[in-house]
Amino acid sequence: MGRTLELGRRIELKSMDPHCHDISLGLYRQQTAQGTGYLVHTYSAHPEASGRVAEVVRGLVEGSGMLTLAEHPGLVAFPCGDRHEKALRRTFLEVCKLPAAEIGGVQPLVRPDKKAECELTIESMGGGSYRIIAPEGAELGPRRCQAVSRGFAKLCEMESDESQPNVVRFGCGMEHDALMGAMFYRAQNVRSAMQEDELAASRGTLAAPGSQDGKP
Amino acid sequence: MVVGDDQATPVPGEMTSRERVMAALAGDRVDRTPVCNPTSVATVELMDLVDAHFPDANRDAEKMSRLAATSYTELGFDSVMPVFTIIQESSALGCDIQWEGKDNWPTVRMSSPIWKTADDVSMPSDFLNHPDITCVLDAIRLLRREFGDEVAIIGKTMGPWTLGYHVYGVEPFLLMSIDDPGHTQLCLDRMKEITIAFGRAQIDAGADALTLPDHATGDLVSGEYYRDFLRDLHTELVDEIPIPLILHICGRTVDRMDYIAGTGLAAFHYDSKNAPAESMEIVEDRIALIGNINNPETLYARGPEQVAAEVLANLDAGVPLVGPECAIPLQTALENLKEIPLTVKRWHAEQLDLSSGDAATEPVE
Repeated sequence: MGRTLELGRRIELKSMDPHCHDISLGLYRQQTAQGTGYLVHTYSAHPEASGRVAEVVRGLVEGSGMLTLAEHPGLVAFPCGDRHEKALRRTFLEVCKLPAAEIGGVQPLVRPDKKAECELTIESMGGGSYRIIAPEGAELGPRRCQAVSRGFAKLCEMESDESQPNVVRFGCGMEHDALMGAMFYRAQNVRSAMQEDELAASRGTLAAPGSQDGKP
Repeated sequence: MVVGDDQATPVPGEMTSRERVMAALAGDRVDRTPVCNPTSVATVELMDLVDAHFPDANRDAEKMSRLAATSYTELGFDSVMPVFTIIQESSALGCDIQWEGKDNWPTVRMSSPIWKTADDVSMPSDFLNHPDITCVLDAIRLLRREFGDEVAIIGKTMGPWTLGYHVYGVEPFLLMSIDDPGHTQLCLDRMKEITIAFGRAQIDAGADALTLPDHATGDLVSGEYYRDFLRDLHTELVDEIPIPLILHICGRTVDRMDYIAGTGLAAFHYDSKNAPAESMEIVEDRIALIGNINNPETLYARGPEQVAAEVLANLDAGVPLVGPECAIPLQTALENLKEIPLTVKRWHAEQLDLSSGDAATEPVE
């Protein structure tokens, strides 16, 4: 008799959690009467595994503004009802990088930016739109605000506006301040995020011997 | 595939998984197309489930057998395969191995080759007692003890071409094949003895069939290379190793399938770069094809619907055994792997409905 479960569609995987005995953590999409919900699950029976799952779920709720579905307490979802799956997958991986003590809390919407040599601020414009701004007089600020906006558009599948290149908008038209805070650092460093994705995709795939790099 | 339409056709669900696989490898009739795993279907989630993780599950017989069993018990495949890696023999020969961790494959450090010429080829006297060899043999024994005749147990013995890459290094070995084909053939003939010894030991341990990975891959060598260096050698292996052999070569291989089909090997585990119908047309009924569900794009990155589509393409083309094209990525989602046997059962149920309307069918779920 099989012990694997019907958990829905797995949309993301942290194959080795360095903060909990290298267990694997999966993020699964499930359809319920209340809409789409997401489950964090591990098949590990390690005594600390269930506690780690609870911490990661707490990270998604506190850090990105998700809610626990009332009739499905194991599932979380965004309050707007939209999936925002690309942003969720990224947030999940970011939460998994943190030890339990560092998980939780909303990230600020103001961050220092090395390339702009100033602080950047995310300003809510209402209706799910956000503007990235730099202090007046910061010479490199405007270009960086546009770059960070493009980062958000890429990582969170947000809509951008050609006439306002420092503005991005969630298609659902709802506010997601916590999610913006959670993704701010990644939007500033979108290239490294992409490289991380590529590395993860190539890891664990067996290449024919003729295609393997003999690592020194 | 021979799912017959006369009285000799087994009733759906009548055959055990082992009978199904062995019949398909022999070209005999089957109750449905077997789902076969000649390489590896280990994933990090299955490792968690049975507490048997890489790299230990590649070196410890008990963990190796536990992880291998999930192919049958969890995924619903008709075979189990405990030899996840392609480096067990090379480790026993003395190659430098990077064992990696839970989420990656061990590799031979081919930048540090151990041999240079045919004179160096030597199988250590204690080769079959090396821990990376005995763990495979013990794992096969454990699986046989646990499952008896229920499921096909497939072992693996690396072919001499792949061993050549590992012991001489890829570049030196390929250059040798250009500069001195005769010497290369001598190396292959001598290394063949390692393939035979490990294969026979696995038969003694209880293997039903053996995968023979021999990576004369489409991207590195031509079909003529296969004909000149390996066709006769593989034919000899059929005589030397008396159970069904499943040749595995990655990549586009239609230019050598005709040669492969003439070797007498039981099956060819083929890559998704080869279209099922095109491949079946070449091999006809001379050899059973196994495969060819794409790994990196379909099983790893897409969903069950796309997996089902590729399974159906194989079934519609008459491919006798269906499964992933190669060792699956360790991060593959379980729902994609489970979809393979589900689609096979659904397809057969539909075929029976079309032909009889009320025929008995094997349960899909």
